[in-house]
Amino acid sequence: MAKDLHSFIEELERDHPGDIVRIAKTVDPTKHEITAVLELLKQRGEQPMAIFENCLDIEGELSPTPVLINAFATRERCATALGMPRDQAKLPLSVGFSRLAADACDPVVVDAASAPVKEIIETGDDVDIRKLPIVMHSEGDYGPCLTMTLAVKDPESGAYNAAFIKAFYDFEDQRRLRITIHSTDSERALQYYEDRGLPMPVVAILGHHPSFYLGTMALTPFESNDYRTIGGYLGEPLRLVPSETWGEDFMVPADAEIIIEGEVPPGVRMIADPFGDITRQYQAQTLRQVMNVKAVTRRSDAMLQDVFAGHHDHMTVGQIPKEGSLYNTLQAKFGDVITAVHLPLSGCGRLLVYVSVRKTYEGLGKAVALAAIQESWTFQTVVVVDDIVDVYNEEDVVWSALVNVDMSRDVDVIHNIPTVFTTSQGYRKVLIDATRPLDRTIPEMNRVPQEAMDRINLDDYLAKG
Amino acid sequence: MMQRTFRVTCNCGHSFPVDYGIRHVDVLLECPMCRAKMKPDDAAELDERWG
Repeated sequence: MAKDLHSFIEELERDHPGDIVRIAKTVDPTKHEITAVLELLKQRGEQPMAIFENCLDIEGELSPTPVLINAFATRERCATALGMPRDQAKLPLSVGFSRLAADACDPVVVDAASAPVKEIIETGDDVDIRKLPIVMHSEGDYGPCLTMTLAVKDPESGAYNAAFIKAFYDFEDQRRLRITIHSTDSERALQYYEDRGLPMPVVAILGHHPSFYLGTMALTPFESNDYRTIGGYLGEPLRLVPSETWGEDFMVPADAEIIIEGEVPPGVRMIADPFGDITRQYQAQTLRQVMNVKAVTRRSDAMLQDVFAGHHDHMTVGQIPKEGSLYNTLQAKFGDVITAVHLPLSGCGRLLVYVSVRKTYEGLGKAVALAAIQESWTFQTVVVVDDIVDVYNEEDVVWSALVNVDMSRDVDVIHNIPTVFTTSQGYRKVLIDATRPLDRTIPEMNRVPQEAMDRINLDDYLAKG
Repeated sequence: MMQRTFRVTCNCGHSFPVDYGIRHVDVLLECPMCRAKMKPDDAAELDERWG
């Protein structure tokens, strides 16, 4: 039995029933009712994977398709998806994630009769995106938006690239989506087609096992075949089947929930956005590519998977791969003095980096910060602390910065450097060495002796009677 | 790359950010609230301070 979204649901309901919630009450996704439920749950400290079993579609009719959302909202759930222990969901999860890329394996091709995603096929005039319960996420969004991955095929190498995108429902055409092509590989493929005046084939993959999507986030070399990489994260070869539109020239995941096949016409741009995105800010309205839909294929029991954009579901899925990659980079450069890295959710899992080091000489913190900031375009600020500080405990990191940092020498601003996200920091990056200075005397951090804590069995002291 | 923005307010009262890269492009903006289309200079309000 191949891994798919349904097998993951079964696993959660069997092993972690408190981690999943089914909601039978009818909701209207276009009126923010799904994201409102998730926000209210979050305010109660709960971030379960949620299945909304009865959803209205774009036209306000009851849809046969449930919506599944928030699969990636906690690191523990991502660990389960990757077959890793939940009590190792901090740095070990991130480092373990980076190792899975080495387990990449060739996909296998199955026939349509063995592909659940081919159970229902709509082409031509039968295609109507309005039948989907597409989610409206934030108050100021342009409109209902699909948020899972879009796959393109590099026309020269033949490698497939899958990346999270947004695809807005088009109010003027039920067979068109307004999409954002933004990964480096996808942009290169688009340029190839546009230079030749040709439409670019694309598919939207709207539901699969969460490890499929985590695999798309692996930081792999240019022109890597994501269908191959994903196999390393699934722990088994990805099953593929020929698409309806291009046959064997463009393969699609056989165990997906829903596949939308379409073409990006060359040179066409239309208005899209705003959208409440990863930094919890609205991306401004601008011109985006469009996708003319050619076919929709789906399982008979398909769910429409979605990401709770601008929330933990969105942040964690990128946070884990970046942590693993950064840790490996810093380890290669500095060795075992690097003890941990973390991209906290306060920095949306993208903007802010915490690194802990075993400091052996003055200036190490700054050198590490300088190396770390270059790892990703999304990093804007790096804070380096001592190894006695748990980088996953933000209270300790901020404390460390407050007591250790001499603003005149431990904070460096790099000016006029491109940044990805629009913040008041502008075209600047900030390095903060919050390690304890070795060349000056300042009070040490207080601690309860470890020896004493090792002697104590807490249950002996809390026992009643 | 970092997106510089300006802000328009539609006749319906809804205000939304727009990429400065299309400020002088011949394209109609679209209000996310009422779907009205407008040129930036025809908006009820136009705030060109960069965000």
